[in-house]
Amino acid sequence: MDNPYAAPSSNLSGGNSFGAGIGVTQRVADIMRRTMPWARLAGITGILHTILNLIANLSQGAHRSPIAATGVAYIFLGINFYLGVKMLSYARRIGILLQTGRASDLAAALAEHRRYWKIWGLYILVVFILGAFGGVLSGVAAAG
Amino acid sequence: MPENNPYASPSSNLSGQDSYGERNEGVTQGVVRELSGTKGWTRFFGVIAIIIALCVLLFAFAAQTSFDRVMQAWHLPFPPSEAYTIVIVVAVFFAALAFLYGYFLNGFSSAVNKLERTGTESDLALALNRQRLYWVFSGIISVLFLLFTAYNVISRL
Repeated sequence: MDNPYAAPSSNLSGGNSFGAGIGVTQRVADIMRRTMPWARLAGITGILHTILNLIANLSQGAHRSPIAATGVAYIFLGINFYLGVKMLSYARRIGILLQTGRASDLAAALAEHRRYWKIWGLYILVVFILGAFGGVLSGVAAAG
Repeated sequence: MPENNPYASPSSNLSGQDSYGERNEGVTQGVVRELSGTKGWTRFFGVIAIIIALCVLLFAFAAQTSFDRVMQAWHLPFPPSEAYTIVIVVAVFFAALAFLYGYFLNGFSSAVNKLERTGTESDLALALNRQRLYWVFSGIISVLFLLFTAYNVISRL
C-alpha cells in the first residue's frame, strides 16, 4: 500500500522513478500521456457515430420497420454509445494516473480498457450468433 | 535505469504484497492482471480481422469469373474490366485496413504474453506502446469513417 503520510516527491533527480511508493516509471507515464488524446478521440468519434446512425435511422423511417428489427437496431446503437463512454472513461482514468503516478491508477485505467474490449467482444459474439441463427432460419424457410 | 540481474535468486509473490517481482519498477500484479484480461479479447479481434482481410481478397479475386456477366446485366456506362479494377482496388484497401487492425491487436496480445512471462518494466512499456499504436491507427480511421458517415447522412436529409 502507498503511505499517505509520505512526503510529496517529484522527478528533480532525473531518475527513472515517477513518484513515491509503487509508482509507474517516466517511460510508462509518457506512453500513457500520448495514448490519452487518441483514447478520447476514439470515445468522441464512437458517440458521434452513434448519433449520426440514430439520425439516419429516424430520417429513413425506422418506425415503418418491424418493431423487433427497430428494437435490435436501437440496442446495438445503445451498446455503441456505451463503448464510446467507456473510452472516454479510460481517457479520464489516464488523466488521473498522470496526476498521481501510482501503479494502482494505471491498473484502474487498464481495467476500463479491459471492460471496453470485453463488452465489444461479447457484442460481436452476439452479432455472430444472431447472424448464424438468422441464416439457418432463412435457409429453413427457403427449403420449406 | 537499473538492469535486471541475471544472477539474482528467483522471486514469487509468496508474501501476497502488491509487487510483481524483483526490480519491477511499477509493474504490479494488478496491472498485469488487467492486461492479461484484455489479451484474450484483443487476440480474438486480431484473428477475426486477419480472417476478414483474407476473405475480402479471396472473394474479390474469385468474383472475376462471374463479374463480366453481372456487369453486363447492370448496364454500366464503362466496360466490365474497368469496374472489376475498381472492385479490386476497394477490396485491397479494405483488406489492408483489416490486416492492419489485426496486426496491431495481435502485436499487443503478444507483448502482454511476454510481459506475463518476464514482469519487467520494459515489457510493460512495450505492451502499452503497442496499445497506443493501435489507438492512433484506430483514431485516424474512425475520423475518416465518421466524415464519410456524416456526408452520407447529411446528403440524404
